[in-house]
Amino acid sequence: MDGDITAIPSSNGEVGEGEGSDTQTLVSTADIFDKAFPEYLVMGMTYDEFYNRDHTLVKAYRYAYKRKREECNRDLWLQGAYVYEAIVRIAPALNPFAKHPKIEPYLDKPYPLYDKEETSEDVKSKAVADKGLAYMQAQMMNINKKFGLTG
Amino acid sequence: MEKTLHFTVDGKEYNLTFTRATVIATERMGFNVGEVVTKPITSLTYLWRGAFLANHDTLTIAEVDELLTKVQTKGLLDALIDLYKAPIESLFDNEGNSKNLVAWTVT
Repeated sequence: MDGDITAIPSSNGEVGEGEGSDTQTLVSTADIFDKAFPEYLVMGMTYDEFYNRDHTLVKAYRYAYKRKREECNRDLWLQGAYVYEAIVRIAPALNPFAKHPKIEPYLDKPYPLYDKEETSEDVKSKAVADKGLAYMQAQMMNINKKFGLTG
Repeated sequence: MEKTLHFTVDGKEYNLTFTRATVIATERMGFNVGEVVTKPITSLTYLWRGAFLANHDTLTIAEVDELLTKVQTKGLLDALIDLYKAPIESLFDNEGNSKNLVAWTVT
């Protein structure tokens, strides 16, 4: 999307130096908009948004489109990883010389999407920590009250 | 957020801006960016009229021209040119590859 949208049309007589001519034919603003518009249509922008609404919307559309492409790329990569995983697990069965191939079952659950997913142990340890914090705060309040301190 | 020029006349608020459609309309009215230096007053008039099209298209040309006589014109042409070129510049956004571009200064 990057090069196409921002490129000034050239070498087709619309703009730039014409062959055998010293004059430059400038492309009109309407032509620039009309040329860029199909790219934004692909990104999901409507005619009204492009021509009549806040002109800075195009930046958001470009960013969103880039993100969407990145996510799509990641999803395809993930799909490939699952296929690879499945083939590796079933690979022993594909060996014609193996008498008792040991086939591993498919993954129990999908790959975690984030670095660390919260487990039940994490929840338990957090509850213990919260309880300890509450106890300490209560103790501090008691001490402050005893010595007439505030806050 | 798009650039807008605000002013109030007789208690009525005006917000001038350009969309891509009104940039095209302004050029069709007769504005030519190449004539800004040679015909600044004509250019100012065209840009002023064009800047009303986005948010105040119900006003007549006479009303719009009347408003021009009620605002300070110092720096107005530059401000309107900024508004006019913003919809075009937003298409030529080179934030992504700015590190490959040559820096320039104005003295």
